Amino acid sequence: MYRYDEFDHRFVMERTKEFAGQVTRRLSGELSEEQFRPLRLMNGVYLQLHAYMLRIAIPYGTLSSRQLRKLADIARRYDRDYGHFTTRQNLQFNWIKLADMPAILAELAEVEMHAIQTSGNCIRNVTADHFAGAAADEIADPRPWAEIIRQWSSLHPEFSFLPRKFKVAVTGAAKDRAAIQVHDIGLELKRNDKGENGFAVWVGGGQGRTPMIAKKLTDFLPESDILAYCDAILRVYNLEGRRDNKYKARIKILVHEMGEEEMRAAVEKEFAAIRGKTLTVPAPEIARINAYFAPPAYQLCDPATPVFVAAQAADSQFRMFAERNVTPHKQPGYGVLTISLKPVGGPPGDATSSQMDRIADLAERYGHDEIRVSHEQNLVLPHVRLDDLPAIHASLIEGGLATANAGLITDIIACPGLDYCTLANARSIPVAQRISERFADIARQRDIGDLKLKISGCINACGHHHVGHIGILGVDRKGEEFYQITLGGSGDETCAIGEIAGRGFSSDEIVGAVETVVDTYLKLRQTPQEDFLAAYRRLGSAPFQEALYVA
Amino acid sequence: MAKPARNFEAVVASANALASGAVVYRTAEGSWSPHFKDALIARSKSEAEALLAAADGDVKATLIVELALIEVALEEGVAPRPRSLRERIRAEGPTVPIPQDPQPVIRT
Ligand code: SF4
Repeated sequence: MYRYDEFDHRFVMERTKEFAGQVTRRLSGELSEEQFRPLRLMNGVYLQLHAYMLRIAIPYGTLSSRQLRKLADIARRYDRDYGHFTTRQNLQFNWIKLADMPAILAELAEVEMHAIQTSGNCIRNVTADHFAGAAADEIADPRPWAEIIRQWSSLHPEFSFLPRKFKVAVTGAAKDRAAIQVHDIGLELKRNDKGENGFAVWVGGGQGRTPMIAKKLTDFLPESDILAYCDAILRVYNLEGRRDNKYKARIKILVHEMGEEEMRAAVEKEFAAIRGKTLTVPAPEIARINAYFAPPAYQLCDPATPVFVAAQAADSQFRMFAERNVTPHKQPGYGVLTISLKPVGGPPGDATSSQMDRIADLAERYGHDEIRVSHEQNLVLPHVRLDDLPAIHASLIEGGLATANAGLITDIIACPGLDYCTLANARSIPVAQRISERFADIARQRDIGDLKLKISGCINACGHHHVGHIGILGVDRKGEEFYQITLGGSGDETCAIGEIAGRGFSSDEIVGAVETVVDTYLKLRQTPQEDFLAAYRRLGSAPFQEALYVA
Repeated sequence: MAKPARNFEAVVASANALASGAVVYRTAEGSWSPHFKDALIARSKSEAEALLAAADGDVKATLIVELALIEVALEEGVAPRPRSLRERIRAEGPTVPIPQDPQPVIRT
């Protein structure tokens, strides 16, 4: 894992001290709320419906056991004993007192964490494939590059006051688990036929009010040029991006208005001017950062994984868990384990402090001390021996963490919605709960198969509803909650924005409407292997609309 | 007490406490309570204006932030409640349970 260098330590310490001073001055009345608001936002502090919310950066979703224990400890001592993992691979605490903020940030700094650039019009926490460095289908680990970009973008003076926020995602596999095409910049690390690494660079994707799929500006950029190229993109955006209208200020609007060709030309021009100069990442630096992300010292294991095989034969619950929540690993005898934070009827993405402690312990004991946060609001142990899985599973059962639903209809993404968020139009979590209760039967879920259901409480789309196979958007209609369904969205390499099915549904109707969509799919799929998205792409929206609105 | 003007919605003054962020309501005594039931209800435009002006002093005194008047539903025989769902959630807390650890599993 990456460890802070001198510079990182210093800037986090300085910022923590500076913000502590600002909090003191706010509490004493020296600073007004108008003066203080931008300062607190620069440090990840929002004021939500019930309290202050603190958003903590988890760079590219990677945590050590020590860091996760610290988060658990903060939840226990300063919050209501739980935290919420978000679609940006961050952690949010919902019940924090402003007066406690300085102490919390100082404690986070002890474990090399902070809340800088988790808010505001800057380059936000860089996200990455949550299976990075582990997945069997990966070409190269994207995290060293996410780290290099993090270092370049941290407190970058030129890019601290952009027209609007800016999000970067990196993947190292052709199978996109990081939703790169709906980011301001999306990077796919790949290898050419000469065996050199480089990036396909996508620009101008995003969700929110105006969802857009990114345009690919280049298919292969030598890896050492990535900072110069990103810098060129940011320069074009900083200069040309709109500042007059917050709804038109994201780079996606600029790319849309300029057109792909013109955008590419503008970026290439800036790039030509800075290429080969100070922003070229030197090979020794690439090697130095890569060393932090070297594969763990894998333990010897029997490739036949006898314990794993026997447990599956003996225990059907374990077999179903292994089938859904374990993904192939690069290393024979190992697997990538998804720990679902989506128990039936529970709020998606929440974990109690003792659950966090348990997962930290498991990571330490069985998982080379590493944990990942997925943008799907689950936690991942990226490197576990398959033969250790039965023991891990037993512990997860005790902790209420063994839900075997990864990638199934109850593995729902939901934003905090109107239960917590000041911007919300409608609640998200109760809808997620009711849907997961309706589909609680695991046999039925497994029969339905892969299905991504995503819920947002307003058009800001933090719940990624635009790229849900089934998306749900909460709207307010004359003071009543209504829910609009979109169909056929996808955040992977076949990225698509979901199409609105038709008029919205009341809170009472929405679960039934989802069931109607699912039943229509089950009726019309050609084989059980044809998943929901494939069937929708073959059939189009008509049969679903007919079932929803005509029948 | 002034007669309620037609079309006037009864309101209370609400805010977040500066130091804790907690939701609070202005009481008849001029203090702030975490309980909606303690809120002073303004039933006319002039009462509402007076309530807001008094409460605003505490914004300046850096006790509270995000001060707003919120509409209250007054119905015969039922306790007053905020009219909008958003304000009911602020008053009563999230409509979903706070996550808790599972009960210990008894293994067979
Ligand atoms: S989508 Fe809207 S309601 Fe949900 S968290 Fe984002 S801003 Fe809040």
